[in-house]
This record gives sequence, C-alpha cells and structure tokens, in this order.
Amino acid sequence: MRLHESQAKDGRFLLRIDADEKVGYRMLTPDYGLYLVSRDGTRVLCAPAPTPAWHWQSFLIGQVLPLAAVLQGLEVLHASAVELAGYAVAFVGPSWAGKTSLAVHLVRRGAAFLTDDVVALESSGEKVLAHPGAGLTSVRHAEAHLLGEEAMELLGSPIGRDDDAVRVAIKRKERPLPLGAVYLIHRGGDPIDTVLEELRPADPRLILASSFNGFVLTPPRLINQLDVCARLSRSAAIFKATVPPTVGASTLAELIEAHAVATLESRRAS
Amino acid sequence: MPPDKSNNDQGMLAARVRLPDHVVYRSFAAETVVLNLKTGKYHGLNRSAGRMLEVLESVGNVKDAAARIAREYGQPVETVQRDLCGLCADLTERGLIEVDGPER
Repeated sequence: MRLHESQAKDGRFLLRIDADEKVGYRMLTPDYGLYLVSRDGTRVLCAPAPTPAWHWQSFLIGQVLPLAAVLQGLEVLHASAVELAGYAVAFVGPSWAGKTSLAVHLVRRGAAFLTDDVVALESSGEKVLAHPGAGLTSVRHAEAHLLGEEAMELLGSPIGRDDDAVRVAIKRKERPLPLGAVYLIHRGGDPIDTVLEELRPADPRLILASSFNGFVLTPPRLINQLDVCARLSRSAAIFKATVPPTVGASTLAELIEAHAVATLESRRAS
Repeated sequence: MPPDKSNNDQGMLAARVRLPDHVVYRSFAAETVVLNLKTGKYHGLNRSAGRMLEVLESVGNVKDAAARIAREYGQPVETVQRDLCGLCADLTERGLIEVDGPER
C-alpha cells in the first residue's frame, strides 16, 4: 500500500513509502537509495545510492531511523535539542527557521548537544524523556562562515559537504533527559525584537502537528502519539518564539539560553 | 423546559454509558483530546467536559456520574445533570460514547 509519494517541481519523484504486510515499510528515493524497515522497527536493511556515506546516512538518520523509532513506540518531533540546566530543550519549526543554527550556537556557548532535526520522545511516568540522536549536524555554509574556523573546529569534525551545508560529527549527550521546554520558532513579526511568549496552555493541535512520520497511522502509534503529546503539554514549558529575520542565531541563542535556564531553574525550585 | 427535552434528559440519566474500544482520550494541559480511531477524527473537550468524560467512564452510570461531579465542583446536582445529559447527547452523536438503557 502506497503511504506517501512526493515529487519535485519538475515531476521527478523524490520519495516513495510503501507498507507491506510481510516486509514492513519500504522507503525508496533516487537520491539516497532503498531502505526496508521491519514492521516492529527493530531491523533496517539499506541499499544506499552510490553517493558518499555521509550523504545517504543523512537520509537514514533523518527519515528511516525516525520511522523505526515510531514503530518501536517512541514519538518523534521535527526538532533540534540541547541540554540546558539538566533538561532537554527542544526547538521546533519549519525548515529554514534556524533550529540547527540555534542548537549549534547554544553548543558553542556550552550546552550539550542532544540531537538535530529529529528528537525521539518517550513517556516516563508523568514526564517525557528526550533521547539523544546521532551525533551529527549540518551547518549551512553561511552560518559556518559566521561562526568562523576556530568555532567550527571546536564544534566537531567535518565529514562531508554539499552546496548547502557542511556535515559535522559532534559530541553529544549520551543519555536521555527529561524534556523541560519546547520553543516553537517562527520567523517574522516585529522587525526589531524577538518575542518569547509562554503558551499556557498550548493548543494541543500545535503539539500534535510537531510530530513526524505522518504516514504511520496505526492505532498503537496514534494512541502513543496522543499520550506523549498530552504528557508533554502537562510537563514541559512551551513557548512561541517570534524571531525577526534580522536576528541571527548567535543573538537568539544568547536570549534563549538565559530564558530557558531561568525558566527551568524556577520550575525545579517550585 | 420543553417536555421532549425533559423526557430525553430523564432517559439519559437512567442510562449507562461506555467508551467504545476505538475511542481514546488524553488530558492535555487545559483540554481533553478525544480520538476516534475508526474515523481518524480528533475532538476537543474543555476542562470540565473532559472531567465529565473521565467520571462517566469510571462510574458508567449517568446519574451517579452527575452526583459525583456535582460534589466535586460544588454545583447543584440538577444543573450538572442537565449539562451532563447534553454532553452525553453530543458525544453519542459524534460516536464517542455508547449508551445502554432507556435513552438511545
């Protein structure tokens, strides 16, 4: 059964995802290859496209493994995350919102890297745990230029590059952390000031819409998704960050770090 | 109150309700989200309606559920009965609960 098909503007197919009762899930993309994920998500078979390993592995990490995680009972958000004040802090937003750049700048300021692009969540009592992802991130060339050579060297080891970004292997946190705060990053609004607004309460639709892998719609997945998102709404502070286009990732990181640390330490104290 | 509506409420009060297996709900910070797994539709209930659903599921009997909620919220039981019957009618129409007893 075809679950998903996407095409480029010129009609070339980009990604096909099929479900098969025996095999599980089949993900086919001309740019990255063919990937089979078992029904329970415990096995992944890869037939990568003939491209450098770092390139097809970005698809494995960004699409295939999140599917496996969902099938194993985790829930995944399209987000980057770092550790601040002992908690996971996640940044959710569309592509080009600056989630990765924000995470990178926070790491440069001393935060521990947790994950880029996808964060896997698990219910744990009344809390939600955020699991570490692969220790890899893609830094757009413009951002790398702003960071400078020294900062990029301290960030990690480059393992590949394309026209858009350099892929960096980065040291990451090794254990899951309780999710303390989520920032929904939105570019626009006031032309000068960044506005951080606590969403209390957060609209459940906003939280559910941050979920990934919209094509796995089995009852166990939907129930787990509802469960994790409900716990997240009750246990994590959720903020909307409206960021003017003129505010760079470095400035935003400084602001968010101070805001998140104050929020999380206040929560811990109460 | 129009006689038909009054009779309907009386019928509903005497009924037992249950959540079908294909209906699940979870409490978010200020709202309860109900998911009908058969239709794939999500429904939102405000805080008090969400609490009513919890008590209904737990108690199973509309009249007793109304009594418990009235005590919990310190409200007149007649008011709660009316609100609860209205909620049950709405949830039944949406296929989110099943009613057994005098009111269908």
